[in-house]
Amino acid sequence: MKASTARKNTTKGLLFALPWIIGFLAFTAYPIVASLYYSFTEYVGIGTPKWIGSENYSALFNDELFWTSLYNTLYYTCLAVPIGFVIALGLALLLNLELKEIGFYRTLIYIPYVLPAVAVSFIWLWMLNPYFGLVNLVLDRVFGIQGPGWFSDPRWSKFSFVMLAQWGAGGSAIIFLSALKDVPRELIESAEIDGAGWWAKFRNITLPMISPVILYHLITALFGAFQIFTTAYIATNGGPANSTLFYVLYLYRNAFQYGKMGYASAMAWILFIIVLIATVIIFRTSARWVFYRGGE
Amino acid sequence: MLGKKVLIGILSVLLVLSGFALAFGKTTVTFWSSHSGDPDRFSIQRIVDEFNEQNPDIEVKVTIVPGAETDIAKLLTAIAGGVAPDVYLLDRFTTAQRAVAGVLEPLNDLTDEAEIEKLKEMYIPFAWEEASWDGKVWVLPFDTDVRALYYRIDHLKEAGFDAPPKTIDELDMYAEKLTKQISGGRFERIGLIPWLNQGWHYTWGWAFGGEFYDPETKKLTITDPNIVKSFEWQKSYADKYGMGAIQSFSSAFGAEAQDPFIMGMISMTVDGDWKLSTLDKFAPDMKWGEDYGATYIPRPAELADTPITWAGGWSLGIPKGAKNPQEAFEFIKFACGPPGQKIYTLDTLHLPTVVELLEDEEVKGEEKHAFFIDLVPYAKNRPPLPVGALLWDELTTARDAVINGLKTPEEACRNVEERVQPELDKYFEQE
Repeated sequence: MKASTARKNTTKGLLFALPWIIGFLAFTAYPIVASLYYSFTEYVGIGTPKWIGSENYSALFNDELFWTSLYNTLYYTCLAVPIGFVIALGLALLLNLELKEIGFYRTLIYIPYVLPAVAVSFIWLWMLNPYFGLVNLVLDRVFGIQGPGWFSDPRWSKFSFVMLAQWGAGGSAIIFLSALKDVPRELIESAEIDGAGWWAKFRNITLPMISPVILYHLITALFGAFQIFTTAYIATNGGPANSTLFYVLYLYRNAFQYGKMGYASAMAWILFIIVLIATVIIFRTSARWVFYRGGE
Repeated sequence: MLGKKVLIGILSVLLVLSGFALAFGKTTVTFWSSHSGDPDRFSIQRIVDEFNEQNPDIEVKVTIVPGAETDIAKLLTAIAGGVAPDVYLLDRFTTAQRAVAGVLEPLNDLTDEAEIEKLKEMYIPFAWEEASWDGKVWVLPFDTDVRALYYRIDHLKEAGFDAPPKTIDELDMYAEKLTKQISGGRFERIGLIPWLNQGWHYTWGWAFGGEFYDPETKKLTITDPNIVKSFEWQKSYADKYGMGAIQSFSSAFGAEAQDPFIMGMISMTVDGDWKLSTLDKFAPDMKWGEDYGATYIPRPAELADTPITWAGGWSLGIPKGAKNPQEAFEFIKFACGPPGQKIYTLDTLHLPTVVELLEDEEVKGEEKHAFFIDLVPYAKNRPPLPVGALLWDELTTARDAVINGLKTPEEACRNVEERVQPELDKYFEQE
């Protein structure tokens, strides 16, 4: 290829990508840099910010609600991510069965994932209602257990959101399903010939084969869990007694209700650093358990 | 070829003509309101329609936007984006906070001192106080509201009571007798849940004789012993019935037709004057004086001879960057003046902030409404501070921590002071 053609191709490529580049710079990169600047200021959201250096950050470390919201979010993440993984993988294994109507089941499992978060919050507010809700009804009639107040009980409120989150398991299940379909049949068959049972096949063939997708799911689930907001805003608005005051919800309050946009920006950057560290740790340790076909 | 040119010619003429029409036509005033429920929403629309009819060159358009007493996220983003509405319905006690944040245009800039003085005379003093900050007035007061103790006469009669409670001790005794428990720690009816509806931290704090702020020292006084006592008293109900049981029971409460007071799930509750119109609309068979009544909020025996309540209410302001502030001001003067307030209070049974309307027989209306209007002179109001929203949320956090047994009342009150006083000091330093 001649040099001028190569250059022309580069120009064309850049032009094609230009809309995205402009959008990225204007709506992603600029706000991110701006928020870093605001995190060092006192800013109401409009007007001129006032530079105060690292005062927001030091104030955050002394802020009881900052630690509460961080604890709430970590508590939720540590429950929601593993549980979500197990359920999504379990569903995927089920959806992998060779049934005639399997297409119908796949659609059924996926539909809840597509519903808007606000609608889902209201559905779950009713499902978890202690007096009329489905969940407590089942617990009572089938297991004879008196269900707790769920959203209104500070001991169970975070777990209620963990349950709510499983509503979207269908989305991850479909992704795991495509990974499961990719596991080479020859390996499974030769293992069966050697007399391997279900668990042996699963542990030694299936899991390693889908491990890259597991890594992907883990990281995206972690991002999502750390940023829980909409469902908490609608269902409990942080209550009762701040037990569901998640990190992003507290951030939102500071930004829009208390006029502390600078403070909220500092919170955003701390969250970024936390998630960044978590992601790096996962990536570093992933070398041990993720198996990429075709070598690294 | 010629056909195309003619078409283009006609279109251009039309374009120019419509341009002229826009220049000489009506001025549109955009008005954002967060009152989405009945009858408030329809009443506001009636005020707008009335104003539009009387002022043919201005057209006010109402848009219902999400928002709450302390949440103005949508307004903030609109101002930042340069598309602020011309009029905003603002919770009056947050005026100082919003004024300091630069969210509002001061009304002093839109007219002369003489008119401001005239406007000031028109309103109840505490309402004007809430609307002012730093020597300027930022909104015009719209409505106000007061709170009282509603009670179910039928429930009380059943339990053997002829008259409603007056003191806290009587209230406790009534509540106990009126509560009906069924097996499994569940309730059929609870006599009183202190923090339900308008039983806020402010309500009981003032009922017990406490003060939240000292304007002389500019310090918050949340640790006032009477306020601490009011929290202890609320906690006693949580201890008695079990917070979990109460929470489960109250999560089944609905609104409007499923209001727990209407459904008989609670016998007594502190609520606002607007409950009268809810009852009128959704429980038309319940009659004042026969099935339900309202009385003064009970107080400790030594204070029970002076009625207590507090007044909230809304206001109309002009956000910074509004395109048509003068026309907006004309509308605000109408809506917040005697004509607008009369329409609103007759429709919604809220209370007016225009002094002359407090004596208006038509506004006073029936006995039940007159009872609330007569409470206005006894009403306290929340301190107009630039940390209004933060203070409210912190008090709610403190109240929740206390009734859930997470903090002692003294600790919770102290935490409120520790968290909010520094923010307040920052504003006073800047003056």
